Amino acid sequence: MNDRDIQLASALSTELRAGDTSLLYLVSTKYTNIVRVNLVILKALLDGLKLKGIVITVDRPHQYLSHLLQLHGVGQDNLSFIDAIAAHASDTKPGGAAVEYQHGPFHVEALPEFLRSSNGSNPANANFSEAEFVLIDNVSTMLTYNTLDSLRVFLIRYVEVANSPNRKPVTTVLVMDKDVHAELHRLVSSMSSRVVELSPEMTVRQISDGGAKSKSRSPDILAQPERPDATRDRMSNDGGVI
Amino acid sequence: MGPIPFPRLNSGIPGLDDMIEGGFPFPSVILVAGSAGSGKTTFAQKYLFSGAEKGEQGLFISTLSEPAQWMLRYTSQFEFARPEFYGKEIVYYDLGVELRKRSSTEILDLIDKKVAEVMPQRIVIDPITVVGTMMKDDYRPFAFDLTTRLKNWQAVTLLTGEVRPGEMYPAEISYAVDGVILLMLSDEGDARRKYIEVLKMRGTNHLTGKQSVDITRKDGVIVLKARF
Repeated sequence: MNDRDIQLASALSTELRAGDTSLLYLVSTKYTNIVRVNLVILKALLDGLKLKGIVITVDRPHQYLSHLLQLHGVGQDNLSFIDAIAAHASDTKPGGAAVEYQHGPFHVEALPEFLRSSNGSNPANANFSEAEFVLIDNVSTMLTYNTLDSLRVFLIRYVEVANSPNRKPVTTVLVMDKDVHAELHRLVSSMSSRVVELSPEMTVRQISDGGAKSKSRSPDILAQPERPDATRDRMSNDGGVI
Repeated sequence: MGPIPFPRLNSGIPGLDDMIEGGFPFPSVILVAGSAGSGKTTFAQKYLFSGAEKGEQGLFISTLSEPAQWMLRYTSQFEFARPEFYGKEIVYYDLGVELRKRSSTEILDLIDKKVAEVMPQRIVIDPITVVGTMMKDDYRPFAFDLTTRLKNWQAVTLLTGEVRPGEMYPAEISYAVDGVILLMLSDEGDARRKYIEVLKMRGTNHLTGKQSVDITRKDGVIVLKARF
């Protein structure tokens, strides 16, 4: 990590601090920066804020992020992985333990229930009930394997699980490029508590309130039927070219 | 719901992006194959410099063909090569020495470590074909593991491949990559002309057939006659 990354991690530590309620953050960045931004966010959450959390990997097997954290000196003692892609990756890269999500990257609408049942009953398990943060790497890739409607259901159910009675507040971070998957970005933004927009130079350009400022917002309100012309998540007019 | 288009990364080669729906799929591994003098290294250097101009991180892994100092001296003769990017936006890594003494697993680990350290969006391995001749282990599993890992690092990697006389492209690596671009030299009367052909580009409705190219000091490799 360079000085710029360290500064961003520091800025995000201030913004992502654990609150009294569960919060969903959307971090907007260029598609090519998602790997680096995820690393910086985890540094902020793990090293800066000393939180305990879970990374759900969809884009690539968890070993890569684990290796990245290790090489850049970010502690992983308080981190667990749920790997939703390993079974389909044919990857020989060695890595630490992770819980495998049996459905793979498909059927994300069932993932919240899987999280609810992840209670750390065996040492390899991720313990969602104790997690103070969740990062998904990354939400855009879920759209490769699921419909936009499935993702809407996933998000609604996830918000419900994150706000279950008697569980501690959890900070959830989703990173994506608004120009590549504009429709999904709008959906996530409408359900987020806060939206953090990063510049191509990896600085915080803007922080604004998302569509859901607190857990008090009813999931029913969020479950708007999709417009017929919005059933397909399209790339922006520039073709999503980076 | 229809297919979700890939995000794409500009190639930096004038005229090429119009042949491949705007750029290389991101992430992907692309083989750029050709005989000596066809412009492979120039193509790869321009790809890295055009990314650096946009703030994208590049990593150039040299396998053997020549020490980085000599390659950089020749690259400096192109106008697009800005020295201020050397060692910063474009990091050079010499793998040649390691290839002679390491196993395939160790080579993969070395590449992994360097990629994790630099976190590039653009990677070049030049040339990949040397690796097969240097390696004591079976090359095919190595090629498969290498391309899998490179994609999972979330970058577009160009592998340059030397083509032997009578060979169209290095077959032992082509099965593992997402795209194959041929750079060709052709004797036509008294002239030796250069061509480019996109042989394979997964997930892309690419232009087929040979297109004329030139190599200029200003832009490096440019596509002259792409019909869109």
